[in-house]
Amino acid sequence: MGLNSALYTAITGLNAATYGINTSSNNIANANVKGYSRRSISFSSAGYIDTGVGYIGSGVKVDGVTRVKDVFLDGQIRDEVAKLNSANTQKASLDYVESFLNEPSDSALSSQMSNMLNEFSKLANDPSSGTLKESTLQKVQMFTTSVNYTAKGYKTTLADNNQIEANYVTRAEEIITDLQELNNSIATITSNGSTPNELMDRRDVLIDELSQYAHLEVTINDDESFTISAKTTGADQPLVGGTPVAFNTIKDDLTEGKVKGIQDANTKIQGYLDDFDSFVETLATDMNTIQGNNGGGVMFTFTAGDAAETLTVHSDLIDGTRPINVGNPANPSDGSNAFLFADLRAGNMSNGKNAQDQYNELLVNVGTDISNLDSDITTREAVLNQLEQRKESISGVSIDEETVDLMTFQQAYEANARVMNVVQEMMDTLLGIFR
Amino acid sequence: MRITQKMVMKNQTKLLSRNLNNASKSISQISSGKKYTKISDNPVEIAKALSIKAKMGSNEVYDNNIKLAVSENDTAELAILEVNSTLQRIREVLSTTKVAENVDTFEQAAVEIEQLAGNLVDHLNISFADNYLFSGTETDTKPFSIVADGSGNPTIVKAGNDDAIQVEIADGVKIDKNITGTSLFTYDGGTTTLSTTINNIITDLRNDDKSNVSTHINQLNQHESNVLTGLAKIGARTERYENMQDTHTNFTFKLQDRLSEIEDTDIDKAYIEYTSYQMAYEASIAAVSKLNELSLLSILR
Repeated sequence: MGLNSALYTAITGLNAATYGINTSSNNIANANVKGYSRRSISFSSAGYIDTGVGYIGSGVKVDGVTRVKDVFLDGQIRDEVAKLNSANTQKASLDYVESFLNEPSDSALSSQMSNMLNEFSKLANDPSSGTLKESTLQKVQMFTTSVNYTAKGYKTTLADNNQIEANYVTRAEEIITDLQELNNSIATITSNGSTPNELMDRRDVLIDELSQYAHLEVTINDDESFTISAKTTGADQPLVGGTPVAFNTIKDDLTEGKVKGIQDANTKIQGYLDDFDSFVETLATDMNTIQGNNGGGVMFTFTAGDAAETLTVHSDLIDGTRPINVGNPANPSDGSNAFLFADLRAGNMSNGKNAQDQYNELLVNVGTDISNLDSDITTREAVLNQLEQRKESISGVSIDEETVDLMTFQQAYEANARVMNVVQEMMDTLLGIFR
Repeated sequence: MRITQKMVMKNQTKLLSRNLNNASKSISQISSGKKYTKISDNPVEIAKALSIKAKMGSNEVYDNNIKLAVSENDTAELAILEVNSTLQRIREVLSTTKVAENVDTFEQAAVEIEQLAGNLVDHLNISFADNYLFSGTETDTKPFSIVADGSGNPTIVKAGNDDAIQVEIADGVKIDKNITGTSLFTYDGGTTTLSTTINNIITDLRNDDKSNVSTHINQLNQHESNVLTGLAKIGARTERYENMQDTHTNFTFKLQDRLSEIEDTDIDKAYIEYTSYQMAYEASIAAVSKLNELSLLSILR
């Protein structure tokens, strides 16, 4: 055992310190990269040499650089992300509904309707007034416009949501394709005996993104190859690994995620629209019946089943061919029929309800759905936040730690260099003997 | 637990935005004066507010209806008072013929009563906003007109109908607002009309027949009291209108109160809330600005 071996031992130390510095500097550099898990470097003692007097070590070797990660936590986070995204997507869509309903406001449908019915009451009490007849007709038209606008709002939202759903599906399919490619690359590298940390980080980021679209079941094997399947109302469907199915074919069976959220939103909005349609149809039919007393004709035309969007004031009323039926036309002060219109306020609709309350019920449905989603989202955000804190606590880069590591490795480097120095001096001493 | 700088920053950012959100919510409550701007802020309360607004809207209509009815009532009252005094005047003129012997006096009385009959019809044809008040629902038809009979003496012809015109003064409460022409025109169930009474008086005077003067005076008295019954009816209605109007006014105040309770911001409360949110926000800003110093690096430097 000569002096040279001490020199080699020192070199392994220098190398290890350099790797350490590199790992720390890489951690610091990536501290704010999304999905980056801090790397930890591990060392072990290099082999031993039997010197005859005992075993003496021959330095240090780098075992590897690994990602610090809790895979189970990742799974929990993905579950929550899927749930939060279904709620968020749904809420965003319902928020839009709320914004075009524009209640409570003086220009919204609720006021338009009560203005119209009140105008009928005024007309009933002053049936011979031409101005009131004209203004009542105008209020009826305003009400009709508001009804059309609301129905169009619902329908536009439904159509937009279908487009959004298609976009989501496309995006999810892109991610799935990327993941399939990654799966192959990772498998190739691991089969060569290396650990593709960067690709694995990229994989985790993509899986996290995919978890926005569906509730995933992720299995990562020992060789770092992985399978992803989506939870559906039936059996889990494989998306990556195994025999994958196209995301498009399972989009209607998902249990959570953005796609499910937008579908749920559409189910709700369709429900609101149906309720609204049937409300408008009942009201318009009732008003037509009242208008039709003693041969007054109809007030509105509409397509059954699509009453809200197609509701139109009959052209005869607008061009003045027929008047609003206030009562017996021979008796100008007979307001008996106009009273029937006004009575729609007071529970005289054919379904026994009053117009205002029934419309308010529809509004309360929308409002309650949104505020339920709101509290759901708040809870889920809090849970997700907790989980992400835990994840960050495990995998996040702490600058303090890295600074300490830097100092440690710097010292280790200096110490090893010092050893080389000592060995050199010893060499010099030895050589000096022969001088 | 292991803490990283990123965690601290993320947490602080979240808290900052929550504090700012709270502060902005209360400042918008203060500046808009309204607690809620969207249905989902509080669906049930907002539905209540909408119902109350609708209720206030219909109350306003009832209030207007009543005002209109009261004005019509006042006009009708004036007309009936005039009708009454005209009848009195006819009675006075008729009384003078009781003692008169001169035939000319009879003729003069006949002419004057004829004139007064014209006045009577004018008062009965009173209109309000272009609607005749005593012609039932045919308010565009002049209810009374004078037509000469075979011998040139005036008769009064009644047109229009006796249908009731209703006024809605509260939810589901509709009352008749018009006095029918017939009720003023006849007493004892329609057999004696003002037309026959006056026609008989004038015919008798022109025939120099004063035997029926007392009967006629009696009939005129009956007519007067009949007309006064109409007046009493109107008085009662006015009272009912005014009662209802008071109720509406009180009710509207109460509704307004309730609406304000639901909708309006309690400014004091909101302001105190705002101040505390603002303080929290400022404190968190100050804390975040110190965060940078919280690193080993700043000490090693």
